Parts: sequence; structure tokens; C-alpha cells
Amino acid sequence: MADEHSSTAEPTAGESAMLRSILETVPDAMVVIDRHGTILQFSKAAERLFGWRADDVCGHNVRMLMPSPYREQHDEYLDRYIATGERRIIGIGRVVVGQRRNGSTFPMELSVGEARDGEQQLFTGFVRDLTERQQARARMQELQDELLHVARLRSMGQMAAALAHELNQPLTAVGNYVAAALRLLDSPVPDPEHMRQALRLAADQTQRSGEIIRRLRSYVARGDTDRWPRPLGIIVEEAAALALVGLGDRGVTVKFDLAPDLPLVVVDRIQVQQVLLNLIRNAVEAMENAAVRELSVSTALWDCMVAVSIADTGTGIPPSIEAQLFQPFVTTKADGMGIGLSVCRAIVEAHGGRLWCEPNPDGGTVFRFTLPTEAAERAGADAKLAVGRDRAEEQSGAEIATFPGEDPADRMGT
Amino acid sequence: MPDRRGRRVGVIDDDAAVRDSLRFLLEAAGHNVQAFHSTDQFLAAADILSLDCLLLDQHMPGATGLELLRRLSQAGAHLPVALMTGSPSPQLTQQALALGAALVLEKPLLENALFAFVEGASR
Repeated sequence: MADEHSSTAEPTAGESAMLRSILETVPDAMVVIDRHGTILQFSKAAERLFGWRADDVCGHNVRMLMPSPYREQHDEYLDRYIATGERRIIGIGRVVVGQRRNGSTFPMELSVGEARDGEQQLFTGFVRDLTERQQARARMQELQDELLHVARLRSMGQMAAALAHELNQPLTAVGNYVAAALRLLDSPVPDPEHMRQALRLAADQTQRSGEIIRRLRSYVARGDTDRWPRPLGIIVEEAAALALVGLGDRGVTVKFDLAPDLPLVVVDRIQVQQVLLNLIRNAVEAMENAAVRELSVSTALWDCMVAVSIADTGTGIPPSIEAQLFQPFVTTKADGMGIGLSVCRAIVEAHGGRLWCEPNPDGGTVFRFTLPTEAAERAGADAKLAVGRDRAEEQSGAEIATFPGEDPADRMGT
Repeated sequence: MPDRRGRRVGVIDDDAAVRDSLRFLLEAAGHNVQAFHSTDQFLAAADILSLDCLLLDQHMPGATGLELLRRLSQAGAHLPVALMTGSPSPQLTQQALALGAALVLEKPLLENALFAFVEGASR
């Protein structure tokens, strides 16, 4: 039932040559169809991608390049657009599935533009093969899952090691006191008071052990989070490694400035790694078109909290965007790897810390967040929130800062 | 016949309960104890020549047990040292022995091993 008319209106010789040149050289697969879906032009790259020669496909309906269910629906889509002018793909771009000559299918990104050739309405489709990107993404996801699994196991191992280490001291003391009590029992000169002292001191140490266990248990017992004291340095290094996988070829230099001897932070490792992943990837993307591409990750002790800073040398964040940055569902890209800044802020605030951004004096932006140490946990929520408050509030103050002559009310509406 | 004369024992451990309980036990057995909370304090205050042996914790903030061992061996001090640790490993034992320690004692301490060292060690 395919319409089998042959090609198009005759172009001039010059246009012909130019068009041919474009079709031969355009790096993307390009398919031009008319309002009926008949293929009019088929670029060299399209020939390579689909496995058909232009002669094979020109004059046939474009649905031959699609598997079900796209194939059956294409006519409908075309008709609907022509009737309603409603843009579902034109100018928008979609990920769909294409089918090669040999029957194999592949994911593809399709962008469609609309053109006119005199009376004739034309549609130009640009096709990008996403197979490799999809495979890379699947590999990345597997790698991420595996790394997180290993991180969890290491986490459990670390908790066990921390528990063993902390309990060993009072246990050693109890052992010594009990050994002493037994020796005193064997003494030719009875000294019950001395013995009582030994046992009392042993009992104190048992008490101390109980408190250690209670404290660790309370960290673990908080809902579904696994929050307990651990060293931040390793968490940062692992997250950075994850984030930078596959980004090595973007020419970004990475600087780590991790403070030595930081006290342990009381955190859910997985959650903090998600935050770090998100911020680091954002930073790298912000620098995509920058002349200088330097990412710095640093940690420092601020009072009872540990502050983590991620700085980029990108274009910076205009004040009008800053206000909306942390709101849910606001994203300038959808790459499926991030969890969104609003979730990052929620995670940090659930730990009792703050997350905010500041301009980078070297150009670009610095994102900072605070995490509690054990001392902070003992000091309480107010103490935790007090750290970094001034700097975080400076940022929200910037939401309504104005340029000379500007009415703040105009800015608030954006 | 085991030698039960009172020995002069040095103890270095950052944990107060470990120090105090070791002192209690050793004194109950008739020995004399000088206890220190760090390598620095030991080097500043101890009269090394007045000690028969030393019980030295490995995992301390600041200088570790191994570091003190290194300094003692460099200074040519012939003081019998037992390194105490809650995280034993073959590497740690190897390093300790190479630096001149008499042995490594695992925490929690085994009474027999402890007294064998204290009462058996000689300069």
C-alpha cells in the first residue's frame, strides 16, 4: 500500500550540487520526507546507519525505518500534526527506536524540523544512534551499583571494626581488674576491701562498654538511615571517583584539598555520596564551555561541623536562577544520573547541616555543605545549624539583591 | 623457680582505664608501676634507667608505639618492650620485632603472657 512515486521537484544545478554535498557530508543521518511520509532524501550517514542505500529507500514510506509500534503509528502522528499543528516532536526531539535493513533495532535520538520547498511541506529528520551511549550508561549504572554495594559492605566492615576497637579498651580493663581480684583471693593476707575495689572498677568498665554499644545502636536505629561515625575522606574520594568515571576526557583538572585529622562525621554514607556525586557532576557540566576547567573538592573543620566545598570555574550562577536552584523538579538537564539539588538539600538538612552556593572568587561557583561530627551530635540541632548560617543566609539575601535602577519586585516573580 | 621479685614496670597507654587497671593488677602482684598517657609524656618524665620493662600501646593519638620503639632502639636503650594492640596483624608484629620489641601482646591481655613478660624480661 506504499505510495511508490519517485523523487521530487527538480532543483537547479547549483542547488543540486549543494544539496548533494550536504547529504554526503552531514555527520548525522538525515532523512527528508514529505507530508505523506515518503522519503525524499537520505544522507550518506543515514545509509551507513540503516544499512540501506538511498536508492532503496527513496520513494518508500519512512515507516520502513521503524519497528513496531512506531511503524504503525507514524502515519497517525504525521496526520495529526498536519491537522492540528501540535508539536510533539518537531523542534523537540525524542528518543525512539529505529530498525536497520538487517532487522536489528537500536535506540535513536530523533530531531525533526519542518521546511517548505515551494508548495511542498517537508520534514527533515536528524537521527543520532544512541546504542553506544545506552551501553555506556548501562555499564556506568552497573559500575555504580557495584561500587555502592562494595561501599555498603565496607561500611558494615568499618562499623564492626570501629565497634571492636572501641569496646576493646574497657574489655581489656575489665580483664585486668578481674585477674587482679582473683590474685587477691589467693593472697595469704585477706584484703576484701582491695578485692571489692577491683570488682567495682571492673563493673564501671562494663558500664562504659554498655554506653558505647548504646550509642552505636542509636545511630543505626534512626529510621531507615545508616548513620554513624566514619571518616569523611574516604567517602569523598569514592564519590569523586564515581562521579569522574567517563568524564576524564573533558579536560577538567581536579584538585583535592582534604583536611587531615578531621574528626569522624555522623552520616549515612550512601546519601552523602549521592550528594557529592550530584554536586561534582553539576560542577563539571557547568565548566563545559569554560576556558579554565578546574574542579576543587575540599573539606575543613568549621567549629563542630565538617564543611565540604565543591568549586568550579564555570560561568557562575545568575542571581535570578539562584533562588530556584534548590526547588524540586527544576533541572536544566535530564541525564538520569543526578538526584536533584532539592533532594541534596533535604539529605544535608536531615543530617542537621546546611547546603548553599556562593560565587567562586576565581570565577564560577562554590557549593558548600556542612555535616555533623560526634561533638555536633552531642551539642544538638541548634549548634549544628549555627555553623555556616551567615554564609548560607548571605546567599538567600542575594535572591533579592538588585542592580541599580531595578525594582526587586520584578526579580521576585521570576 | 619463677622470679617473683617486684619489677619496675613502665606503662604507656592513652586510655585511662587500661592504664589504671594495669597498675592495679601489677601492683596487686607486688610490682611497681609508672604510667604515662603518651610517648611525649614518657620521654619528658620517665627515668628509663629506673625501669625493668615497658608495656607500650600501639594505637595512640600523636606518636604511635612503633615510633617510640624506633626512638628507643636508635638511642640504644636496652629496655625490654612489649607492644600492646587491639588490632594485631602479621605486619605489625614483624615491624615491632624488627624495631626491637620483645613481643606483641594482644588486647584484651592474657594474664599469663603479661606476667611471663614482666617477670621474665631482663635487660
